[in-house]
Amino acid sequence: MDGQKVGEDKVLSVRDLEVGYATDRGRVRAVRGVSFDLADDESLAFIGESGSGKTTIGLAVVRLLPQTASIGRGEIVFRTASGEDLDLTTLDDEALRRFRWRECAMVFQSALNALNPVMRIRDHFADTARDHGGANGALKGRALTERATECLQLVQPDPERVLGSFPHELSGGMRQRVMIALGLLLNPRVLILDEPTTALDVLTQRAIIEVLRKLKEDFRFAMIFVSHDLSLAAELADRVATTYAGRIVELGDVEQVFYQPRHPYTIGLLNAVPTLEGELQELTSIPGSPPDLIDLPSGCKFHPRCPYATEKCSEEDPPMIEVAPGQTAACWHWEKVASDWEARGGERHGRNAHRA
Amino acid sequence: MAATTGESRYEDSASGRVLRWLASTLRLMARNKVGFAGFLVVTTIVLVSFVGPIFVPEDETVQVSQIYQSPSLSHPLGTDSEGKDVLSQIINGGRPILTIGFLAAAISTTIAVTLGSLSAFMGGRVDTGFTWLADMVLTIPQLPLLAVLAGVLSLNSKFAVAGLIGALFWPTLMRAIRAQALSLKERDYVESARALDLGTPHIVFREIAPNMAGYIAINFTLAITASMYTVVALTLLGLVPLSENNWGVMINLAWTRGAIFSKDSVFYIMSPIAAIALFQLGLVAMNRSLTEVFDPRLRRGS
Amino acid sequence: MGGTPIELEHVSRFYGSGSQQVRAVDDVSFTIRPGETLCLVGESGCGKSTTGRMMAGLLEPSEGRVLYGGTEVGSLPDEERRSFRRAVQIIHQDPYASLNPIRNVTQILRAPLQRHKLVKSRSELKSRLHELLETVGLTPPEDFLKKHPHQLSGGQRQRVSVARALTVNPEVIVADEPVSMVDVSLRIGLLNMLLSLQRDLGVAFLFITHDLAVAKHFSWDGRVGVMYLGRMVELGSTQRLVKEPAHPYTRALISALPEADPELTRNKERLRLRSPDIPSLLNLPAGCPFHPRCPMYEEGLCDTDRPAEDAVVIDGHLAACYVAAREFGQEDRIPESSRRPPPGPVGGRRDP
Repeated sequence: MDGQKVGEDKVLSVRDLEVGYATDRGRVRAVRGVSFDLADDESLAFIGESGSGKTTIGLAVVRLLPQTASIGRGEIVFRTASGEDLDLTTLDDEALRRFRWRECAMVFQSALNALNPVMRIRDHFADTARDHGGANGALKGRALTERATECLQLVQPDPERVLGSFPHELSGGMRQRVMIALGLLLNPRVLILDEPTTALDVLTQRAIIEVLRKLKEDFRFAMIFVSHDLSLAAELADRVATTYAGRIVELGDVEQVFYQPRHPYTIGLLNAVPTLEGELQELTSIPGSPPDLIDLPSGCKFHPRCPYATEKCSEEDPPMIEVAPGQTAACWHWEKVASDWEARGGERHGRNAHRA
Repeated sequence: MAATTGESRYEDSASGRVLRWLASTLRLMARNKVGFAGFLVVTTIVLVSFVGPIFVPEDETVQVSQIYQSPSLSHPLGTDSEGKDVLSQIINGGRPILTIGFLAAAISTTIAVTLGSLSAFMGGRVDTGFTWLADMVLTIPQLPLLAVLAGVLSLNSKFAVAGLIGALFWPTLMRAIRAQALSLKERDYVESARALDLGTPHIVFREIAPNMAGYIAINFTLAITASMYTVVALTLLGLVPLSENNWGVMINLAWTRGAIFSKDSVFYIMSPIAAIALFQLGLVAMNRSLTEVFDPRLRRGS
Repeated sequence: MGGTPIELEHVSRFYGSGSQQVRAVDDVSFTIRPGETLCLVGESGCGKSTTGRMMAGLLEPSEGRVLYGGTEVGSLPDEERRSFRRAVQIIHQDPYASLNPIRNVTQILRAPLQRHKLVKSRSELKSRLHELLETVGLTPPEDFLKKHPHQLSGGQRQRVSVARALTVNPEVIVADEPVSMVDVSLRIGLLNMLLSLQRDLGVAFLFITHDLAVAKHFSWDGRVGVMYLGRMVELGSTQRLVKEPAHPYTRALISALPEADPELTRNKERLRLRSPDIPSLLNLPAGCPFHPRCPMYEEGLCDTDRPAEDAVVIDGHLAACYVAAREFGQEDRIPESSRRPPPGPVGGRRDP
């Protein structure tokens, strides 16, 4: 995290990833062909609702999928700190252990059961260091305490008190900060955060967002956020991927996705979220319900709920089409979507302008 | 699953519904291999005990020359101390034990569910009262009490025996039910039922208790095993009048007539014991399938 | 549907006693007028859910009174007490726990209709069921009548919950975070459905939420009450509260909320709190409960007495803050005991 070469280095490259789960009712295709790159200092947000596959993508990268899941096809290539390119789908257990937390760490939601209730926080750090320590010896003793304190200090002001506490003695916000600090312990190149602000109170959420923002500014590492909360992406993301039924349907810079969306689902999301600022907006839900992942519709999976759907949409699932430099969307009718959007003033429907 | 028009009237009739329910119950039972095996064992023994006697009457003829014979074609399980065929006794001897077992379990389960649910839902003094009652009954040593009562009262009917056992066995289950009901009481849909003023009986018996059905069923089968052991114990101790032969009586006679001292009588002693043990095992194994049977999500199949 | 105002008068709810007492709700008063929407907003542990349940008659207040049409609920004759019970219904947050899993939609809706003899024949029952399902947007009704909860999506279950509440023709629906566990793209549909109930059936809403943006959207023509650690710290019209919040906690909430608009949210000015610690209900500070974190804290003013609910009164808009009172030129509402000058250097200077 301390001074990589300056440049557009890619740290992660995912191509055509497919992940499925075995369930009573058959194989569920949670991720159906996802491709993206991640630069070593950017924040990418995966935004989606239930059944979108976003959490599965995050778990797949760090290879923490549950037993019932299997990676079908696709490759996940990770460039390590030493410049080596690892294909994560082929790593054995030992190599995975060295990879996890040292190259890429995951920050889970702050639920009470994310931390072992009978271990103090100090012991959680020791455990993590020991499990993923590796060749140059695990962090132990005083070096560990120093490093743990350093990490905790990055996220909150009173490390000594936290180190000696048990998880249930800490509030939800504190636990989330501990989870972030645990992720940073071994200096990973990529941090994956799963719903980092969900289930937290508003004021605590704000504090966590500021913590993450400061980490972004002070250090050079990549972050992947997985969330259903668009506003989290608006706060922290450099790029945004909206996901639906196991695929990315739109991918672009944060400004492109929020101000020039080209996929009807992205627009549907934008129109469904109320803002505090300004007058009363005209908001609309997306009709219908999220799809059943075992019984997906034909063609484009969003077409049953889409105002732009035509017969072609029910027959052919669109690929990711380049709609602007650096922005892709999986919609046959993106041009019409774009012109309708511009016709409405190029802003979210009904909202006051906030841009010059 | 939309209600379609044009379904045959047969399918919608009461018998059609019952048959469909039976079919789906069997299908769910079969999901767990061990459970299904247990179910088959239990069903077989019940059928043999209740239907068998119609075909295989008990051997009443005393043939002193045939005491403690080893198993042979005419006597697959050998003979007893009076030369009577053991197999026919086994077939005929299950009915009283099983009947008392079921009855006693039914009585104790009913008491436990009613008191436990009411206790949990109504709280306050009702709860304190019922819990105190349960504690009282629990602290009484059950077998000695049963022994005393059996000696004092004349237990000449199956109902009396079952009633006695049932009246003493409910406290543990009642506490378990109460704990379950207390947790169910906090569920949102119960709170809605209260807001809708649906009334305590409705809430207890139609919202809370049915959601414990699986739990109750499992405990019911375990209560059967406990009751059966108690009946056999009482019979062994000679506290239940030996008016008819049954598995318990067979063990009692084996004991009192010195069958344990003869090596030829192994089958006579072991047969009733094996029958009882096999039935208990079957029940316990069947429990594994019961959770599946009572899960509404599996039954509706979506 | 009848218009009886329901009032909470100095209502509190405690647990435990003495030094271990937790005041989940502490001296809260407000009225729900017929057909209005009132949102209760606050973070977890602020007492909003408990307040809602007290209004619905599901919890007894430890102190204070609940008044139905001006009469205390406890002293109503039986007939009217039952009326009150039915007049206030509740819908819950978790779609997966709000319906009995072993009953289908027909059975769930039929129970209250039959219990209170609201339908007199099978055909009347059938048409009422259809009507209810259509009102909550579950069309065509035939598709849903035989379904069990696990066959419905989260949003659909919430709608069944609402239909169930409507069976007894309530006057007020207490909605406890009804959209928090529903997918974002479906929330607005649910909220619009609830608003249509207000518009077409005259149902009033006590809408409990932690999301001020949702409160603003739902209750735009109504009111919002902000709660903190069991107390009502601000109460007034939504539009005013959102644009010109009086209480520092409300200002902190508004400032902290992230918006789904990158330029707006990255450039928004954020209020800094004095401390990241959340006080526990067991260990409340003296005076105003928010003062340890409050950016407008003033020693001597904020840590002696607890500010009254109506420390600030502007056109019926209330806020419990003495610093705000001064800001709005209502200094005379601050009681003498709290106007002590802060202990300062020699001489004890009085604040201007």
